[in-house]
Amino acid sequence: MTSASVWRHRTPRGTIVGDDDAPSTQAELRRFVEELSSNLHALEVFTLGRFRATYRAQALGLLWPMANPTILMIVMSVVFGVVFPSSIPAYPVFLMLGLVPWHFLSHAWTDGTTCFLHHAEIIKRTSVPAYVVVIGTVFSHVLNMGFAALSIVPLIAFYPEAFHVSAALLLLPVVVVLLVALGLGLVLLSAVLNVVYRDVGYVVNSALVVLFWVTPIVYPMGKLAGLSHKAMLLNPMATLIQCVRVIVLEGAMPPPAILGAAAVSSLAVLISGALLYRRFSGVVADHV
Amino acid sequence: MSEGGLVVRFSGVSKVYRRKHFPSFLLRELVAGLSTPERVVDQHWAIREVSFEIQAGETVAILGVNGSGKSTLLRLVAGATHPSAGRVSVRGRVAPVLALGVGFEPDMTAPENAYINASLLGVGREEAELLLERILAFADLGDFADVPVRHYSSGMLARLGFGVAMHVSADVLLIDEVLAVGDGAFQNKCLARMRELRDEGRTLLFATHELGMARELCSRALWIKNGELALDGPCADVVDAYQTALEMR
Repeated sequence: MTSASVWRHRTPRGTIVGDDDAPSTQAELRRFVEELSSNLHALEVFTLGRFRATYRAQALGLLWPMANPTILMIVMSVVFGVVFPSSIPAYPVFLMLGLVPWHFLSHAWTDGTTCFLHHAEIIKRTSVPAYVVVIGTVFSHVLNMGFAALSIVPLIAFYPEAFHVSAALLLLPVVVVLLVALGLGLVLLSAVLNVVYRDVGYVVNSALVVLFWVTPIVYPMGKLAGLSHKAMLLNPMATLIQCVRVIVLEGAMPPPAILGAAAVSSLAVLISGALLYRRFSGVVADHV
Repeated sequence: MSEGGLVVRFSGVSKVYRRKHFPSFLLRELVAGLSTPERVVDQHWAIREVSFEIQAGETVAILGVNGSGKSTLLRLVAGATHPSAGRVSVRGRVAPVLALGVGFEPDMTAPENAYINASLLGVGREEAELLLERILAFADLGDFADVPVRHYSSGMLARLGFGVAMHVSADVLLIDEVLAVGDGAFQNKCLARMRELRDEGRTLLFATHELGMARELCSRALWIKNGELALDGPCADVVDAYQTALEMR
């Protein structure tokens, strides 16, 4: 069936395609997948456009996503290697494995929070659904993260003993998918709220400062014991970074409890974001 | 679609906006609310109880003064917003040209932006690549085609936006008063292209204040007055009635 022959009905309760107006969650998911796949090309073009536009007028362009975490890593290596010596072996590698995912999350979240307002024209004046703007913004930061990850490569020359090639590396894409799910969830939550309350950007900035220090990025997860260690399992960033470190630094599978906690918490954030978006997508379209 | 048949149907469609732009949770409103407890719900009916049907191949002008609801009506057809009541049904591919140059990135060149814009209007990859040359020829940007569009004059930007708008192929083309740009020669070019589209049998919904253009292009007109459908009929009759009403104001 081509799209040319199908009726689309817009009703106060949402879009109905053809005669498919079954109210079930399953039918709703099917309609969502259909709508997303018909907007896949727009999503790709928007994502690449955002990604390219960011670097177009810059002298160093794509070197920036690599330089940013590296500079932070050097500063922190000096602070925690010389000023407050730490006993972590290959500390710069350890840091980078935390800083690269962190950079993705913090940039995607701050950028994504205002994405509905920045791209209001797309939402108000085209048929492209607003969530495409969210996904595209987050995906453009995934591409950035890909380049940022390249900045870890030179460290292999300095710390060859820190890297372990093993079958566990196959699990890395799963961890990245969970990280992206977490980013999408957080952006959906903050972007929807930001349409009504324009102060959400400040909340996100403050939350990121707190999250940076409660997440084991500059210190190892094992540093905390007892209750705070258990609380760490609720922090998806903590468990996701721990998974990356275990996989790369130890060449081992992450403990099931850690990976499980990472999966459950990241997906819980994504589902909360999706539910909030579903409830308020009409408000987004009319109030940006 | 060359065959006849219904492509757009509005059944009892209303769209209500809350006129208040700020949420009632704002701190200063909470404070103000302590002294004035009752809050008036301020509703604005952008579209009220509108019903009509459009056949494939019809060219329909949407007339009405500023704020009468023309843009809301077109946004409803585009699916950019959902009705508050009633049902908007659309069949086939809709290209909503409700603003020029949606998605333009200032640091990118004309071909890149034309590609982005066309994709956001629903044009697929192969088709967009095919259209690119015609779009650029239509926009006629000279040496500026490979310059980032941030260096364009507003007229050039509009021409590029128009180039895309005039070439996206769709069953239903929505155009929202964006024609009032460009110099005389360029406007004639747009008009000629619109005539071409009409003669190809596309369905056109065209919100405009240019009554002459409406008369020339359209077979039918809808007059929207305060969100309600005041008149629906052959273009010449509706334009006459609308013009008389305007003169009497």
